[in-house]
Amino acid sequence: MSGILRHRAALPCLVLLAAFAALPLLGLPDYWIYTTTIGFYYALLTASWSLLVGFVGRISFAQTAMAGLGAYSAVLLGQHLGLSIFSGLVAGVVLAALVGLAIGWLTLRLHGAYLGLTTIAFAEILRIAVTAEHGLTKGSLGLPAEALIPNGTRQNYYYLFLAVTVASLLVMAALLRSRVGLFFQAIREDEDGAASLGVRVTLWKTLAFAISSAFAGLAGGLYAHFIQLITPSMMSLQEMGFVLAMAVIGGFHNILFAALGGVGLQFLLELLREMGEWRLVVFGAVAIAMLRFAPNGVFGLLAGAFSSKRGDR
Amino acid sequence: MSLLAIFEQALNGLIISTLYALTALGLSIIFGVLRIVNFAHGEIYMLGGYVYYCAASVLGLPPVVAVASAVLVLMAAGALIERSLIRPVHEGKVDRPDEYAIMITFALSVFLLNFANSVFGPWPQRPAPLFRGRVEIGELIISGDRLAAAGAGVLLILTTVLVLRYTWLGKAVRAISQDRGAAEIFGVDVSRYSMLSFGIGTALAAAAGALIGPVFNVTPIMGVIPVIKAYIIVVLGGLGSIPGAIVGALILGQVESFATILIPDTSRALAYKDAYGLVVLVLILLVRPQGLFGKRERRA
Amino acid sequence: MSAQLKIEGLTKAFDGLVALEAIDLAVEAGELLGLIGPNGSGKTTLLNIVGGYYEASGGRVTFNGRRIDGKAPSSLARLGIGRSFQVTKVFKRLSVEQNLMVPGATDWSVSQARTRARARAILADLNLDSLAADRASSLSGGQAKLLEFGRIMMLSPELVLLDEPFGGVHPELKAFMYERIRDWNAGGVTVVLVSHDMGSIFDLCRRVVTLSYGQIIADGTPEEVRKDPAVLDAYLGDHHAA
Repeated sequence: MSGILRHRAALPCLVLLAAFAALPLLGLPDYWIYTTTIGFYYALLTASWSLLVGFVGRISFAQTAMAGLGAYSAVLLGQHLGLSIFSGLVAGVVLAALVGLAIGWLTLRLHGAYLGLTTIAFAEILRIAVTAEHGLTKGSLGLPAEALIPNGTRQNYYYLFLAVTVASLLVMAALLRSRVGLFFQAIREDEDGAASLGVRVTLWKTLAFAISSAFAGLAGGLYAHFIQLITPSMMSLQEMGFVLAMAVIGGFHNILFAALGGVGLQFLLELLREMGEWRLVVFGAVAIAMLRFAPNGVFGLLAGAFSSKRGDR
Repeated sequence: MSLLAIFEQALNGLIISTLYALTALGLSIIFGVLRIVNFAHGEIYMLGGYVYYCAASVLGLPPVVAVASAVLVLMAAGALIERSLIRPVHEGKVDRPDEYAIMITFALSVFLLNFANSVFGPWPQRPAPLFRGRVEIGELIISGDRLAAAGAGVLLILTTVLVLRYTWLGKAVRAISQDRGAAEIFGVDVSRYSMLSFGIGTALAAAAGALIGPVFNVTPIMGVIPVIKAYIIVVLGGLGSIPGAIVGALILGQVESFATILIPDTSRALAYKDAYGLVVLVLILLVRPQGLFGKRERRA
Repeated sequence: MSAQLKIEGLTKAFDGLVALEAIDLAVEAGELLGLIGPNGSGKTTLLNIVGGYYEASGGRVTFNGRRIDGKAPSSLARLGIGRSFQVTKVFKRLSVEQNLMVPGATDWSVSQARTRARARAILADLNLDSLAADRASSLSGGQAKLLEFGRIMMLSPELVLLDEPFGGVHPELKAFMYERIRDWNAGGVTVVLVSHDMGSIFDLCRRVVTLSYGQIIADGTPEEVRKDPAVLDAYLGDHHAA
């Protein structure tokens, strides 16, 4: 499936990329450019989350906490160690990856709801720590961060975020199409079976968490230097709920669908602002309906309809 | 710290533990019968608070009736949730049942929280409590509303335990918890009891929310932290174990009350209060996932 | 002794219940050995210990002179031990071909292209090549068992442990599976076959070991075991006898 899919998906992907690249040039207003840039933040989160949950089959509610970890460490390490923004970002990614590695390793023997609960616990401990250490992090008041692009326009940030998101998706896709992706899927389908065939289940489960957390940390770091003020709420379980719902609606078994869910829903939610808080209720309801009736998500449905029209399989 | 202050701390811890225990009991029953962790449990608790508020403050019904309404409304809601969202798991219609149940209840929590926020707004409500005034036992002063809430909580816990032990309903529920297949063969209507059990679970959470609402305020986010306490309790006690839930609640209540005192830097110690229980949760899950009284199961 | 697989004094107890008691078994390279015994005799437990899923309570297991008890299943697979499961563990949402690619991919020194070619050859050998792109969930029970065989073959194992491979398999397919097992064995692969299907044990195996209540009670040719009174007693006799 992997080889053929590359060619079939290449054209739609290029079209999508061209569309996103063209949006600001076609006169999309500044406010919407800003919104879509935030959308790319969510796209990175949903894609990296779906890698772990959809592909490897390891449930986690710690994604937004990892993003926050990346964000706070990028800013704080930058400030206190005098690092450049770039080095700070790298440090944030590395720290998130290491914490992800640790959590992945500690939770090796856990599955299902026990695993979910443990990740909730880790996420909340991190959030509480960030809030409590307000001497360092300014807690709920918010931690200011330097601008990533000095005097950057919203268009500048848009293209930077688009580039990073696309590059990250390409890296993730390359990984998932390689033999590592096969190992990930085998682990998801049947861990014992995979082990009996020589798959290093322990190694790949741990690395999957680290990789997913690293991308979340990257997203968080970039976000921090974009909006220039971060608060612990970015690490909350409510935020995690949004990421989950976005990924589910997009299609969480496919990183591109999940990413599109992220950016698409961020855009849609802004568009529906006059609906007030009810738009979030509808959002939740749609996520539930998707899980119940269309687990492949909106884009999964579209892709399925499209391929069956073309008469294959 | 004076002996009196310690006593007051312990009593406060005990009162709050009771309501956590009630919530945890509901979670335990749901897990026992349906083998799923209800990640929307906190929002059910919250809705219990809101139904109480609607019944007591908006409709002006007496507090006891208001609590009963919360219980009944959310019991029905729970049954509906089970029927529409959880049933497919047990009918084999779901590819990955564990993952599905976790995600759909989490999505449900997103839905319910925002629903409450939209209908009632984010500002806190303070409905009328079961009992106003103070109770004095010697030199000890306890607020009456807390005591009444805890008392009602204890009553509900006892009732539930007795029902589970001695009634036919209880026996059916325990049978399904032990062995779903065998229960079915012996003629237990597993689908109906699954629905009922989920409803009982949500009813208990709603009762806790309704009892605590007047004491601490009713807001859309009131369930977020308490449900995590409930998770800690059920995991500590052992998922699916009723006595475990009660013991776990007692332990957690005391840990939280006293950990705050033991750490010297009071402002930070208080800020980390919610984290102590979480650390306990992680330790239990890593070291002894079946908890104090649970059975060792490979997966949850 | 130059036995390929040596089990010495192996004991396994589960919370006080003794499943295996001081088992001594030597399997030579290239043997086709059947392991039989009534339910609860410890056959699957033995297989699970050799396969790395359980830890022994006592004793040891060596493979090609190297101690393997306590090693993880994935290490054992890489050492050359393959295993099939009573309830098939095919990767349901992966294609048939992908199922074979997984074990092949564990050898990083071989390119995916070469692994794919090997996989296709094995699929052809098993008459599954027309189903290569289909989801493994669409296979019949017997085909799934064949797929498990194929996956094990991708490992180029020296020793293969088969746990009830013929359960619910159509007779024609069973005959085909016999052929494959014999071919494997002729090529030098040691096969240990656990089965309740006496017909297949006696047809295929040249040596049969019988377990009862966690102990070996018979070890010989099929004819010898068939007539052994201890074996008959274990299967048919009074199970309350010590």
